[in-house]
Amino acid sequence: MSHRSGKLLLWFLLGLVALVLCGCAGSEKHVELELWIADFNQDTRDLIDGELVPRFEAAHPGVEVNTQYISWTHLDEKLTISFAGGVAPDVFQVGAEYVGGLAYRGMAAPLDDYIAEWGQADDYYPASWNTCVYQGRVYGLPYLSAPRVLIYRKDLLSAAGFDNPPETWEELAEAARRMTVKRGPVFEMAGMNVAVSWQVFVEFLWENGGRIFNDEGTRSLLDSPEAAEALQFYVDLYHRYEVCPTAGMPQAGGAIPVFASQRAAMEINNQFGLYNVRKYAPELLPKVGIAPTPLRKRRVVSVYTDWLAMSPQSKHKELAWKLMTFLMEPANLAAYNATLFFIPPRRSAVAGAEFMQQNPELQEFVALMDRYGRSLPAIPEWFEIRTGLQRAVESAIYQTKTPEDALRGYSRELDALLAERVGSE
Amino acid sequence: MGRTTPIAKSQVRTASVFLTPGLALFFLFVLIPVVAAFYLSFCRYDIIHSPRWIGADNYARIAEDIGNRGVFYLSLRNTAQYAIGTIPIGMALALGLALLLNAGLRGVTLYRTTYYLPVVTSLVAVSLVWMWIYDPNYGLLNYALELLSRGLSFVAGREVLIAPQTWLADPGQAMPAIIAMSIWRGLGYNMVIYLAGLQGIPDHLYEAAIIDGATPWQRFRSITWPLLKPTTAFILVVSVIGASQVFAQVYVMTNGGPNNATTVIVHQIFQNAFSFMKMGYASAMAFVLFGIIFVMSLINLRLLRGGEVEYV
Amino acid sequence: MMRRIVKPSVLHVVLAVGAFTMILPFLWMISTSLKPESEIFRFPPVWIPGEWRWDNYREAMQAAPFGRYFINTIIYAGAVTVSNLLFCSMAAYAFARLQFRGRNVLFVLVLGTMMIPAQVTMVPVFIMLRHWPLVGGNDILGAGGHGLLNSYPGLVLPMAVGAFGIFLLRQFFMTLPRELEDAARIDGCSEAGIYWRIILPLSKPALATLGIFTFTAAWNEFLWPLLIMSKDSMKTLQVGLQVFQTQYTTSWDLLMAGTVVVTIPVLLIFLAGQRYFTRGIALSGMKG
Repeated sequence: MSHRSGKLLLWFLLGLVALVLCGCAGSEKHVELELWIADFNQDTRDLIDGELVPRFEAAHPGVEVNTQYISWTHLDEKLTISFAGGVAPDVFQVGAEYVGGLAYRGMAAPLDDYIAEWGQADDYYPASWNTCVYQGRVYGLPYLSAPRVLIYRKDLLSAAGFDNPPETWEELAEAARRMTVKRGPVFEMAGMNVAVSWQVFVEFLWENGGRIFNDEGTRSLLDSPEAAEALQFYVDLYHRYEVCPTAGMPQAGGAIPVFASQRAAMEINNQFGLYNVRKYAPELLPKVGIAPTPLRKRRVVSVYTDWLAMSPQSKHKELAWKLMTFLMEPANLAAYNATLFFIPPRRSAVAGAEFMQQNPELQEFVALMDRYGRSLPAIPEWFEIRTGLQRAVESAIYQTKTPEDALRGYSRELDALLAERVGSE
Repeated sequence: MGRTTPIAKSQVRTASVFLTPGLALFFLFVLIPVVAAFYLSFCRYDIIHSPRWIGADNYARIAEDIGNRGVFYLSLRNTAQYAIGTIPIGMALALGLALLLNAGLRGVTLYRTTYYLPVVTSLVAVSLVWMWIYDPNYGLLNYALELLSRGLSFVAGREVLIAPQTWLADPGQAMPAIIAMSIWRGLGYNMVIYLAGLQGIPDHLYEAAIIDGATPWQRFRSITWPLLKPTTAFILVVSVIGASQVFAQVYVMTNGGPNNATTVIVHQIFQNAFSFMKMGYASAMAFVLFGIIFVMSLINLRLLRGGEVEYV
Repeated sequence: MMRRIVKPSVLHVVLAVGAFTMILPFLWMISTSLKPESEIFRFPPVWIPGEWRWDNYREAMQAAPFGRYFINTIIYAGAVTVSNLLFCSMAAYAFARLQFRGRNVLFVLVLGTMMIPAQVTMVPVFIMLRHWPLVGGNDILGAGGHGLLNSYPGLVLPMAVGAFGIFLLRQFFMTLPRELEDAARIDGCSEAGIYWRIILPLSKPALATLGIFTFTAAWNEFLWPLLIMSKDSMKTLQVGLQVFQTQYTTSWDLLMAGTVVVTIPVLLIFLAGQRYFTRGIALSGMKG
């Protein structure tokens, strides 16, 4: 090897060694807690980094909280790989479908003992609370909730001859049909804006008295007539009543949503639908009504709750719990939810929250959530079920299969999937 | 090539010195993980608990899925569509572009930079911008259709309506839309490799050909194309590997939908590994993918073999 | 060659139309980065902002410690590029020019690993870095601390040498005429000398290509830095841009401003490296 290249190589290797040594520096005496937040925006970061964490650290000398903001798109892989490496965060935020999988695999610590001592569980709305429960044990604390309701235009509805929001599926279809305006194949006003989503199907399924799987989570119930009817109604909104374009009226992330841009007369949405109206078309606000989603057999408001879990790998569980309960203090919880325009999942936080008072419509969301709220049933396989359900829904809506065939096909798949867990236990 | 024993010996010695640092890193950070993944493909592994040996079950499941035309089968089909849609057009455009830019025009630097611009921007960012272009409500593409429709109406003297399309939300249009975006994004990349390859062709060959009265096409056929074969072989192999592993733009733009029209193999691997926590099954998929790419690469390299130079 | 087939003016028109198509999405990006939020979503689209919001750039850069991220990214992309250029060219030279037993098997093995998607090897690599002995608070058995996680080596080492680079350079080395090195051998030049004095200088276009590609790829790498860094002080630019993009609200103006800023350094690297693609520098210059 020539002299120069040898020297270059030597310097490079020295550089690498130096880098390795940099990595080793910093032995710490203090305790570090790692907190992962998935629901955030700039205001949230200002609140947590600028106010909440400093206050917690001041109250607990020697404790340092390392807050990481990780978007939902990448939460799964970051969480999975951290658990695989044994370096999971002490406290982390997850969504409505997580409890079964986390509990089943030992990725969330059961908190029943802490909660019993804490004694504030009753303050939470039941639908929110249930999101963190798997087989009778509690694995986290609800951090924010989003109930899905019917948001409609009062002015358009009364012009179409309805004095009240639609009560039943039939009324919903009829009202949507009357309010739809098309120019050729183009929708100028969708009577009902629905996305192609498993969440909408689950709503219709529940309203029709159906369920996805049995209580034990061992057998699919999607081959029931209730399920087929629910999916048929969903498909009919596109193809029979023609109240919404087949591909929905989608939007790029961040675009002015369909309802707020006055191109839909009704939609099923959470409080974010309201937020969008406030933000993009505040003059529309007096014309916007909120109602429970129309029913078939029963009234259901589906509630999606994101919550905080604690890692069983945490070396400082007591402190982690203190951090969790600190974030859950009514004022802190309300402040966090205010930055994101979500519903705080506990009553005392709702009662004291300024932004809830300023948005009287939000109180209606809370009332509906409290009265009719229902959360997703807990099961370890939720992610696969969600993906499979979405596939079944899409194949029916894009008419590659009939609703019945789509569900029957997926039901068989789901049975096989559930049998895998039962077989391995 | 005249080789004598001392040279051969020195070559072996040099080879071992030259290969050691690269291969050591390679062994640690590529080969060991690949072997580990291969082992996991015969296991049930949920990442939290230790892997449990289950033999070839994962592979049997894949075979069953393909037999039933299940999701993995669809992802294979979509990946093939993507590869066929992007590679030939992409390579032909890149070669044409490289030849144009190699012609010694003024302002070449500006052109080269412009065509390379999509490559330097992060895939996530360009995917977001293209989602916007394809947006059914605010999209630039639908706006272009509207302008076209207005122009046609003006010319025809009556209303000609071209309906706005839903692009990424339409099962029939989503994959072509992703393909178009990917060709746009990858063009500069292959162009640069071709440009580097063109620099290796000595001028005197062309000069001799011109003296012999060869037409430009003949010069391309008998000089440029044969001497670019190693470059073409490389681009083809790398493009096939890249297309087989397409993921980021799918993940950002459609997440596999609508109606599974854009789910691709790595999307399935990713979902199974990190959302369903089925690392074993995901690994088995990866090795099925490996088998496919490996065979195709061998075929590609065989096809482009020829002349006195060996390429693999 | 081309210029002898068609008139340069025609070529210019073709290239300019193509270039315009290529650049259109960027113009949109830049236009968006300069708009107030209220002007972003309009139909028909507005290309020229009604109000030029240069403040978006300041705001975007203040949303996170981007200066620190910039330094981290430079270190990461720089180290990965240098190490790839060096190690890949050495290995490629051995594969392309030296005779030794097992050469083809070894090369196919290297090539084969390119065909395994990173998604299944990430977890083993992560576990290995976490249990790297004697660093990051780990003991000799690799337990106790975080190993190479949250460190530059952890970021760089797995990317330090790539099959892609070995393959690219090997293909290029094989196209070089052998006469020069044979002559050098007869003159008693060592193999390392041939590599350093003959092959590398002749390979500037290929090295520039690999350098640009490696730097670009590392600069834009997102998933790996995201996975192994859990400290704000260790993040890279691409990970940093995440702050503008959450599930419910994407700050398009700031995200686009941030993306434009983050793209500029890579563009400069390309501008610096691309002179090697100009005719007359490499082989042709020497032999022509």
